[in-house]
Amino acid sequence: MPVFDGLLPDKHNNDIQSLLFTTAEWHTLAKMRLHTDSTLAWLDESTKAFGKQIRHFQSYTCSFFDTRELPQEEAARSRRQKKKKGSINRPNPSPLTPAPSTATPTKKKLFNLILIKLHALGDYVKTIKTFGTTDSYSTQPVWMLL
Amino acid sequence: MLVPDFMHEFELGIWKALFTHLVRILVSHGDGTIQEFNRRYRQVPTFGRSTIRRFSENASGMKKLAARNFEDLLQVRL
Repeated sequence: MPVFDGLLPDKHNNDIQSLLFTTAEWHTLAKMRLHTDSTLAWLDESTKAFGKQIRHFQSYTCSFFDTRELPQEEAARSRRQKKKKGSINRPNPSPLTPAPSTATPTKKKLFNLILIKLHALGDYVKTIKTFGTTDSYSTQPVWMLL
Repeated sequence: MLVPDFMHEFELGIWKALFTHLVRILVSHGDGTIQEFNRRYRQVPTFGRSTIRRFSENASGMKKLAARNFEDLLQVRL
């Protein structure tokens, strides 16, 4: 994974590289338009590895970094808060005058594993066996025609 | 039974969350890491005519990205 390689200290680098590899492997396997028993077994293995690695990433690797909000997330949050305040006090704030930047510290952001989408990863093999490959019911082709 | 929707679940859900957090880690690591990361993404050549398009913006900015762009980000790091 040359894009991420060597950007972080070695012990994290290796973990992140394997996690990224498994992510890409899982993505490719789940996206295949033709499956056999052995590719489905492979996808199953890959799902297990991905689960193990992403839990390790969350519980171990993430604890070493003080991750804060990204600039755009902070901007969005302050816009939201300003809008909330503005709707009570003055409904039409002039867009030309820049509001004084509020010195709120950026919030800490942690990696969240409690996602239904993550939980659903385990069901892909069963779903492919029941309904066929993922390209038959993904919304992506429809969305690409729009 | 709910049929999983591949695009919305994996590309816009899990991979997006993971990618965002990786960017946060790189930012917190400091030391020009994020700039190097963006520089590497910019150097990625295109593949096919529309399969993987060029990353002209900073990858860490994540501006105006659709699912296909996230998919490109995932496939390209290989």
